[in-house]
Amino acid sequence: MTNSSKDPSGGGPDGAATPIATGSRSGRRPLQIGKGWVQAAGLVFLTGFFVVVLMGYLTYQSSPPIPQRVVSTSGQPVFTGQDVRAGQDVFLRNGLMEYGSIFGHGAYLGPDFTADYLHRSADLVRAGYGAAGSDTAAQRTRTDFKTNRYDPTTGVLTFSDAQTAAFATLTAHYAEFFASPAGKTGLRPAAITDPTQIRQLTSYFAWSAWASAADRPGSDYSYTNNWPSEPLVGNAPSAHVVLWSVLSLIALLGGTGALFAAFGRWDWLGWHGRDQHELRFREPQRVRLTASQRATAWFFLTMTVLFLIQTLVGAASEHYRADLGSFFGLPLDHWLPYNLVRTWHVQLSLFWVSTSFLAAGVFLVPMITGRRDVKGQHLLTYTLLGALALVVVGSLLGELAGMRGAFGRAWSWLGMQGFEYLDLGKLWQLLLTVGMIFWVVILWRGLRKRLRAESRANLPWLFFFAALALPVVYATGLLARHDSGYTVTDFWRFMVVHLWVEDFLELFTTVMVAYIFVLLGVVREKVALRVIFLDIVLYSAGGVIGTAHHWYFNGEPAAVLGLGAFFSAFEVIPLTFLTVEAWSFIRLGARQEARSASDFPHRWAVMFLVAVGFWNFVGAGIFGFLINLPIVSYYEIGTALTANHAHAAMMGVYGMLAVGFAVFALRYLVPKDSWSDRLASISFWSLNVGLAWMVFVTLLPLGILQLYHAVDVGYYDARTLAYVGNRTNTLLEWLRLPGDVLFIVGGVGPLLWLAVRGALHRGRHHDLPDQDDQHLFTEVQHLEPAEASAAGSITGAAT
Amino acid sequence: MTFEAAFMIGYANVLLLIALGLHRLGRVNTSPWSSRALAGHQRRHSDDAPHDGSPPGDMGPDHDLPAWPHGEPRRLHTGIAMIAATAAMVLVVAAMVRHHATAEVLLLTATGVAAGALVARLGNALRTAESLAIHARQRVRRQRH
Ligand code: HEM
Repeated sequence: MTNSSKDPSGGGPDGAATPIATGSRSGRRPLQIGKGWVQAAGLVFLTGFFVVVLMGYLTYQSSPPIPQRVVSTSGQPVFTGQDVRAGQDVFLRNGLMEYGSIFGHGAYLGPDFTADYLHRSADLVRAGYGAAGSDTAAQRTRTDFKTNRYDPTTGVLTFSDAQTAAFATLTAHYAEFFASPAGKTGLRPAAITDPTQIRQLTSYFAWSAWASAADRPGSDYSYTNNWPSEPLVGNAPSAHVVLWSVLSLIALLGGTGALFAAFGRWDWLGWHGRDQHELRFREPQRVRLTASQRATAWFFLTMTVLFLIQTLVGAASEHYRADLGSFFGLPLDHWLPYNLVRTWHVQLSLFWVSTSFLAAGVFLVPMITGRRDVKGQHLLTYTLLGALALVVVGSLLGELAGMRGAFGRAWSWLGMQGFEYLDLGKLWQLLLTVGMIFWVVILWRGLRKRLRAESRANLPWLFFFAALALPVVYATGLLARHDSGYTVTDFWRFMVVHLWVEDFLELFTTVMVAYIFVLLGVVREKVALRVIFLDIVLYSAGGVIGTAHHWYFNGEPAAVLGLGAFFSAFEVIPLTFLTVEAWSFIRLGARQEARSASDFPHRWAVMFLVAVGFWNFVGAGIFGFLINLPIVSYYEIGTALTANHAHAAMMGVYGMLAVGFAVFALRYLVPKDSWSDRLASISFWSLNVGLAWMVFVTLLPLGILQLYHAVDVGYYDARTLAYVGNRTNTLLEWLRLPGDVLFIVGGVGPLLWLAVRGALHRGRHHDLPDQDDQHLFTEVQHLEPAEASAAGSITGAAT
Repeated sequence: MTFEAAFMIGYANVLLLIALGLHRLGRVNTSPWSSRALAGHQRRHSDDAPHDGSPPGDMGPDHDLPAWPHGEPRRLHTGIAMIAATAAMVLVVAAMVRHHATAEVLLLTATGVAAGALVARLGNALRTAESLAIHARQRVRRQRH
């Protein structure tokens, strides 16, 4: 046998780098796969978005009205629409959505204030109507709450006298709760003391409780599809909740079967079994990095530091669940109350993951183009890092100051905007969007020449489009405004929390991972392209419309519940499926590695991808679907089972990916003698074991117990501080400690060490060959002996 | 029996089943030449099937591991399964400290012993997988030279 060395840039089928053999009249390299893929993806994508726009229209049309005035039967004013809006501001500004929840959405330590107000007021009303056990009293209470006495022509909502009296009593109750100087609630002691603000806050809770019980006009269920479960007012799962749960299950089973059958029938990805090419992987330290690539070392260091801080504030917020009293004797709630550390924990998770993704994008560009940086690229990269640091530090400090009442009328711009996951002030949110656009510009500058030579559905363009989609979709979150009705704000909030995270980050990730494999030579470009288009089809079919699984009970009409339940079931299919698929994807790499004459340098980056596959299946697929049926979500929303899914999916998938990207790049940035596979291995196992411990020892059992309690005793009760801090729960919370310590010390620690080495050295490898080469492998073509002797050059290369 | 003890026993047993399930899942061979998802592909290119020592169907405990990284999901699954079984053991021990009724002690002990046995078995499986992985890597190196 013989071998002939081939430069992968030479216009080969993989198009890993320049120069490119163009084959079309436009001078662009033609599309590498059938047009059908592009058309199918476009069609599914557009259909999905058409339905999302339709749901947006329904949101604006059918969300629960905020009355102009609420009066008692005897005509006394109770509160106004202005109070409700101002109450929402008080709620957001003080970070209460990061303490408890409203309509089931928010944090899980404090109560759900909708259910809390509903239960307490119903209890007071019934007590006012007669002794406990009196059927008449129970019936009158139900009638008071279920009858919709809102008059849309006058904008007046009428409360019964008993409801009015309950409002006054509960205003006093919340005054005591929020102004308590003793603390012990997780909030800052005396967090809200102003009586006007307390009244406004109570009005907000009262309005949400009204919407959750009063029948929607023309229906026999409430604006929230009868959520929360509350026997006192006759709130039980509506027929829609049950019906769409059954249909959702059928969609999952039928969809999975259909997809497996279809996949088994056709040779979708068009592989060829034998590959006669042997790869020689370039040692990472033999790859000459550009200045912009070297600048990313600081991004990865920043990422790791943010990751460390995120886990530390996470540990602090966990401590509140284990012991509300104090932090080993220290009154932590004076300085770092639960809602602040929880806000930082959630915000930092998005920040560190994004930092890694931004850096990985910049790092990849020169590898894609095979060229040196365009002028000034590294300066722009450093500017991006500066902007990112400004947004991170500014927004976190803004949240701290905002919760303490700073910034006056500019609170929502500079301080705590307060929507869970979109907690950062609007100015910071805007700057972050601009920063991402700036990042896209950096990518564009680097890719420009390459893009000019490519069909718009080839890998370089897909990489660019997937990146461009990130600021565009994130920007929709700017439409969540503190002065809009809750249902409308939630519509826009989930454009970021769901659509941006689960669909567009997923798309960007698939493109990045596929491209990295192509650049490493282990996957053919055509296969990678097909996987990406398949991903777009499968994720768009479920994920886009499936956003509505977050809107079952927040005031959206039943049609949205149905669409959400049905289509989100399809979201699970690619998770079970693409993980199977992903292995096969890597499999190609494996065969190449077995044949390669040099070690595969990215063992640990690939291991993090293996973990992504695992957690995608367990965390997103199993734990996600566990809480996805409307009938489960009805009792489960805002409980520890959500936290169980959120951690396993968010850390398990995007966290592991972000770390995987960092390990990939650090392999080039850290000198050979400072790189340690052992440290990467310790980090890998500690992160995975720590996450599994957290899930199996604490979050899953806590969630099962809380779900049982919500069904057995009531949702309101399952969300009280007394329930959350009971003996069994406390034991489970404390048992989590060893896993958390391992996660932080063994998982983040070694990563930080490698990132520091990367930042100190920044890929300045000595004794590099003169040529400026970004190719990560060379391909050696094997010829059968007969062919080789015909060519007259047998050199006896090893196979 | 108290609710807490009953829950701990029930949940610990569920964890043991989860551990067994994860370990089993890790034995599924992810090679494109045996993955059910790619049956169409396999039929078309059956002549091309590589002979790289990758066993068809599931990987049995005594089978050789397929080429890297296809042994790694197995190790990860078994590793996490071991964590689930260890978690069951720890929960049972914690419950034993609190609950001392005869029925509780008996059931907790039985679950604890089952968990311990599973941890030991998974530990063995993990060690075997690890040595197979090392062996596979050495084989690749030998092939290269
Ligand atoms: C990698 C993919 C995924 C990630 C990163 C992810 C992440 C999250 C996060 C962070 C939350 C918490 C939101 C909150 O507290 O308001 C959440 C909630 C939820 N997720 Fe996912 N998820 C993923 C996939 C899925 C899938 C596939 C399903 C099922 C089809 C699903 C179903 C749900 C449901 C129903 C909720 C709402 C729970 C509640 O509001 O209490 N997720 N997800």
